[in-house]
Order: sequence, then C-alpha cells, then structure tokens
Amino acid sequence: MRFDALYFLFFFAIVYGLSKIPRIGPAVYILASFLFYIVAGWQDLALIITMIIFNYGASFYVSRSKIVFSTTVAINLATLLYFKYSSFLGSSLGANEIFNTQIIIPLGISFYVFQMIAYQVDIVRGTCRQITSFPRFYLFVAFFPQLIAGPIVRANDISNQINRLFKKGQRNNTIISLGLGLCLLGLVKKVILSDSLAPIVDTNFSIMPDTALAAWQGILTFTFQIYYDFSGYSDIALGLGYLLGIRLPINFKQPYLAKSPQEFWQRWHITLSQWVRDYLYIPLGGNKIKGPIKQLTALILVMTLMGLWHGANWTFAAWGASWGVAILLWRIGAPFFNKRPLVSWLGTLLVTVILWVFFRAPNMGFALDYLQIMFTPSTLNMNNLSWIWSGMIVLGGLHLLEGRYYNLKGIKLMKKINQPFCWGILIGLCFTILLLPKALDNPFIYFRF
Amino acid sequence: MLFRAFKKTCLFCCGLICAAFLFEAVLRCIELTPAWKTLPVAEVSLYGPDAKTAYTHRKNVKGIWTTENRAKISTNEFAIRSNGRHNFIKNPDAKNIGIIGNSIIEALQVADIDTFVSQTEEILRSRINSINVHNLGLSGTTPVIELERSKYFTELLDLDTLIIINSPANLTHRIEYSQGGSLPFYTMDEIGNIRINRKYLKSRGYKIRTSIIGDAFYFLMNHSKLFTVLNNRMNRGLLDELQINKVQQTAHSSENTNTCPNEAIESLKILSQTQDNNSQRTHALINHLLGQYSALQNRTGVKIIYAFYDNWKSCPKTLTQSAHTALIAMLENNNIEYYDLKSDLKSHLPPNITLQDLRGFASPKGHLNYTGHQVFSSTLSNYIINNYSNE
Repeated sequence: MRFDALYFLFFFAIVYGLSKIPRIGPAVYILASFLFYIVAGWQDLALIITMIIFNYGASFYVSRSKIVFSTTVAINLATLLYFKYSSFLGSSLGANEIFNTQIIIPLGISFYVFQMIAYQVDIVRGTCRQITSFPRFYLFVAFFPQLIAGPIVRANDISNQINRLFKKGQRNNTIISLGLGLCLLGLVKKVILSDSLAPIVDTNFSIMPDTALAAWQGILTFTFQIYYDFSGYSDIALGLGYLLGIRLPINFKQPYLAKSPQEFWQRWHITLSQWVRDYLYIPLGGNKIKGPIKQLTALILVMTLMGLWHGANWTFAAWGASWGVAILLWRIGAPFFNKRPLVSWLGTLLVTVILWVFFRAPNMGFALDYLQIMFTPSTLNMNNLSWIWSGMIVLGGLHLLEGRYYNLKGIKLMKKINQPFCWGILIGLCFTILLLPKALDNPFIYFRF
Repeated sequence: MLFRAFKKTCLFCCGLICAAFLFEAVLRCIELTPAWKTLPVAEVSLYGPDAKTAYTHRKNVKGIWTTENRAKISTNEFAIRSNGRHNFIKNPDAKNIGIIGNSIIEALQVADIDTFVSQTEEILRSRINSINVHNLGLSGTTPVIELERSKYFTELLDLDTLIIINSPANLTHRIEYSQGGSLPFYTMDEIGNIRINRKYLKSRGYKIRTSIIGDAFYFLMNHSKLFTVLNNRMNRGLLDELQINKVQQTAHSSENTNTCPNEAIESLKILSQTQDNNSQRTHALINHLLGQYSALQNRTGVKIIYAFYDNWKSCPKTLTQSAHTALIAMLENNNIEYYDLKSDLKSHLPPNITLQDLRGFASPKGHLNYTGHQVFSSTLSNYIINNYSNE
C-alpha cells in the first residue's frame, strides 16, 4: 500500500477506529500490518514472514553461540544479496536500472533486513532486551507505517512502547493534531511538491540535456524531488505512528543546511547513517583509525557499501565512494572550513547536488556525460527556464522554513490546537490532497530500495 | 455528555468546511501564478451531456488542461474551442470555415491561440479580409457525431467551407459504433438517421447529468476548483491508484512498431473489397453518411472537403491504392471534395522533421505538439489560399 493513495486513507481510518476498541489494539496493528503488506504480493509476504520467524527463533540463541550469531547475520545478508543483488552479481556485474523499471525486489527488504541484523547485534552486545513474544517481534519488524521505507527502527526505540501496548493496552499520549499535521506535511511534500517535480527530472534524465543550464536545472530539481519524496514518506510514517501511539525516530533534519558532508549524513536518512556508523564503521575502527590512507580506505569502503544498499548499480557505488572522499576532504580541511561556515555550507551543498547525478543517472556513462555537460560553458538562455529557477528558490525557501515549525515550538503549538476543529481542517486537507488524480505512477522513490 | 459530543462533531465539520475553502484557495492561488505549469491543478472539465451526440463541450468554460501537456484553454459561447477570442460576433460578410474532427483538431494540449485552427485563421486573415476559422473538434468523436455536429454548426455559424479531417480507419471502424452496455454508441439507419442507444440515454449517469442535480453540479464545477477535482476523481475512480499499473501495461503493449497496424489492414480490406457482407454494409453506411453531407452541401451551400490522414505507411501498396480509389470514388459520387492531407503535410515539413516529430510532448507519442500545429496550419492555410481565395 502507498500512503499517498486515497484507498490508504480509508484503510487507515478503519485501523484507527478499530484500534480504539479496548484490548484489541495490538491484534488490530498486527492484522493491519499483515494486510498492508499483502498488496505487495504473496511472495513478498511469504519472504518477510519467513525472515521474521527465522530471526525470532535465532534471537534466543545468538547471545549463547558465536556461530549461531554469525550464521544468523550471514543468512540475513545472503537473503538481501540474493533478492537485491543476484542479477547485478550474476550478469558479470551488470547494473540494474532502478528508476525506469518496475520495482522487482521484495518491497522494503533493505529496511527490514537491516532492522533485524541490528536487533541480533544489539542482543549480543547486550544493548537491548530480547523480544520474547512472537506477536511483539512481528510488530517490531512489520509495524506498517515504517515497514516499506523506514525509518530503520532499533528495538530500543520501540520495544517498550510495544510492550506497554500488549500488557496494559496503553499507548503513548497522542496529540492527534501533531500526528495529522505530520501526515499533512508529508502529503504536501510528496503529492504537491515531489510528484510535480518528477516529470521535469524524468525528462532531463531520459534525454541528455544540451546545455549546462538545463543540466543544472535537472539535477537541482532532483535534489528537491528526492528530499521532498523521502522526507515526505518519513513524515507520514512518523505521523501515522504517532496517531497509533508508537513514536518512531526522526529521519531528516533539514539536510541541505548541513555545513559539512559528515553533518549532511547526520541530517539525511538519519536512521540509516546511524546504522552504518554503529554496525559497520565503528566495528571497523571508526574515528580511531590512524593515518589518512587507512581512514580513507575505511570511509570509502563503508560509504560504498551504503551507496550499494540503495541499489545494485555502479552509480550507487560511485555515489557512496564519492561521499567517503568528500567526508575525508572536509576533515582534512577542517581548520579552513570551521572558520568559514558559509563557504563550508555552499561547498557541502554543491557536493551534494553534484553527487546526486550518480544517484539518479541510469548508468555510469550517462552520469559522466551529464557531469561533463554541467561543467561545459554554454550560452545562457533563461527564456523558458526562469520560472523553474524561481521555483527552485521557492523550494529552497520552504526547506529553510522547515526548521521553524519542525521543532519543540511546533509540537507545543499542535498540542495547543489539539481540538476537533483543527482535526477537521487537517483531515479535510489530507483528503482533498489525496483526491488529486495521479497522471503518472510515481511511487515513493525509496520504495525501490 | 451528548451535548459535548454534538459540539465536537459540529466543530469537526466546521473544520472540514474550512479545509475545503483552504484547498480551493490554494488551487486558485496556484492557477494565478506560473506555478500552474508544475504544481497540481484542477483539470478543467469541458464536457457536458447532449441529447443528439451524448456529450459535447459546455459553453464558456475556462481552465487548465493537464493531460499530456499543460495549457490554458477555453470554450466560447458556441460551445467550441475558442481561438482566444470570447466575443465572436457573426458577420454576414465574413467567410466562415469550420474544421471538424477528433481530439487532434480539438487540441486540448495547447493554448487557444496555439492550435493549428487558430493559427490557420491568423495566416488566412493576413491574406483574406474578414475570415473566421472555427474549431469544431471533439475528443473521441465518431463519423456520425461529426455529421451531427456538422449539420448543427453549419447552420449556427453560417459556414462557407467545412473541412472534415478523418482517418480512413475511423470512417470504416467507427461509423457503426455498437459497443453494448451503458456507453454511448451510435447507429445510422438506412435513410441516414442517427440514434444513440436507448440504454445509454436511460443510464443513471446520463439522467443525473441532464437533471437539476446535474445542472447544479456543472454550475459548481464552473465556480469551484474543488468540485472539478472531485468530478475528475469520480470519473477516474476513487481507487484509481490500484488501477494505474494495469493502465500502464495496456499502454505499453499497444505501442506500435514499423508494421502495418491491424486496424489499418482491416480498414483497407473493407474499403478495397466489396464482396463480403461486412464490406458491403460498411460501404452502404459510408455512402449514406456522405449522402447526408451532400444533402447538407446542397441545402446550405457549404463547401465540404473530406481531408484524410491515414496510417497506411507500412501497409501493402496494392491494398492502399485500391482503398484510395474506392474512397475517392465514393466521395466523387456524392460530390464531396477529397483532400489527401497526409501527402500535403509531407510536402510542408521543415528540414529534418518527420511526421512522427509532429506528435507528442515529453513522450514521442500523443497529440500534435507545437511544431505539429505549425506544420498543420501552414499546410491547411496554403491549401485554402490556393483553392478558395477567389471564392
């Protein structure tokens, strides 16, 4: 199911209504999560249930035996490799073009596999309590607001909330206005902004632009499209979780305001960055690695793997590796950048935008040609492009404004106006936005990963 | 307790109403700024019910068309696409030319003044004093709807010349449009009377649209963006998102290749053969149709030109030649002029542009793009100037 579909609104209304009936809340959540994923197909459903059963069983033994632990992690990774990367690895490292093809990998596999690996590691490290009840474990992995595209939830984040729900039927105090407000914000980002930018981006990345200006326009449009698409999804996930009494972790904090590449990853897809940091980078030595070459190697390795997590294509590997280089460059140039925050911010933004070319391009050849055009001087013809550039400024302004309402003040305001009148406005706006017919099928971009 | 619940419900409903007004305001703001080119807007709902042709354009409707390419469009007081002027006044001394056909002529993908009909008018006006070219195009039209519209508009607009642009396949396959159910289909009896099926006229949808409720809804659509969005959504279906993948698969599978399309082969066979019953019946119906045009010509003095735009490029030459001969013969028998539009268009193509380049905006398929409209207008205006500037 998709959050930006009208049928989902009806589905959620029923789930929300039923969850209010005393004592059946957990059962409703489990059933809803099951039904939510059925739309992806029976094979995908069978896979996720198998994986949940396997990880649930293994979680009883991982802390006792290193072999069991290693095997469990290996099986999780092998499943991900098989379903996501087998064609990439099998066809002599040929690439999967993910933007122009139907989604063929099991929906959300990258997210739930990472979530379960983190859970097993946390048990072994003793940083989280084991979830002994199967329904609770099922809900931890498959809770529908975060199932398909994150945030990647740790057991510590929500196991207590799930336990309370099962034990006493207690949910976190819900500020309905806040939940609805987050859903509305996500829908505005996805339906009004991201979906509107999609045709411009698709045109730019299907036929190579002929001028530098058009190429920059294309990639800047994508810069906003991907942000509004993914952060829109995350906002809706947070909002739905909030309405159902489960608080999910925040995934975005105005990433394009980051003043260094490292900070960018502390603001962009935060839960993935934290996962990579805690389960990949730190075990490899982290910041304690001595010597720039060793640091560079570790960073590039980690970031390349994170790039490949997004898709089986060399473009993602190049994207991740380039981020590794950028992070190291900023570390080396820290004395310079720390004194010049504006230069540092502009530099980070420039790197981010340029590297998105690798992310969006169908293949490496296209990406390199595209970059070449971006840096080839050409005549400035602003005739047809001026309104798009004006739009970019508006989008940038909206991004800047996000910090004004996405904070504690905003939460307090929503608490203040937590009244039926406000709920009516928010539900009405969500409904009318979902009424807008979709000319193109634009699923959330991160559904492809 | 009960009062509190009632109060909460009332407040909630007030909130919903406020949301509706807010949404309306947002959509209107978008339309007032250049953002309409990108952000979601309410797609204009142009059509309304018609007793004779089942549906037609509504009068004086303005709005934004979003499918395929975004354009600001409008209809005039005659319920046809405006050429960018809304205060058309009949002038007995002026020459009036009507161009009729399907969505290619209707051209909702470009603004009023960018349609080839409007551009043809502009070119002709620079050469001939006092001339109007009217866009009588209607999406999904069939030959019998074209006839009905031709009769109506010839008298309404005092047409001097009527150019019917059609494909031979449309003529052979849609002259008798006999799909069942509650879809509109049209039959023509042997004396040329056209009827819409009763089932359609009795359908709930048609009845509602022609009732007071329908009038009220059309009124609301003319004045509210929210109602236009609601109407579009109802037309597409509330569970539209579940259907999108299916639609895309169908669209993909129907992409043509460089071979002669099946529809064209069938059409060619029908036109070039007269032995089998199906061909004979279609020939008789086409003759009836052309006879009706001939009668219209005689009664009103309008000059009727049948312009053909075929898709026979990759079809067997023997078949296309005999089909051409048959078509020309049928037109000649009914004293209607034949115009090979496609050949004429080819001779007017700018360098390095093919006929395929005239279609589609972002994708290579679709309706006429801006170049297409320019080529069509220069071809048609040239044809009219060469053949009728003295009349």
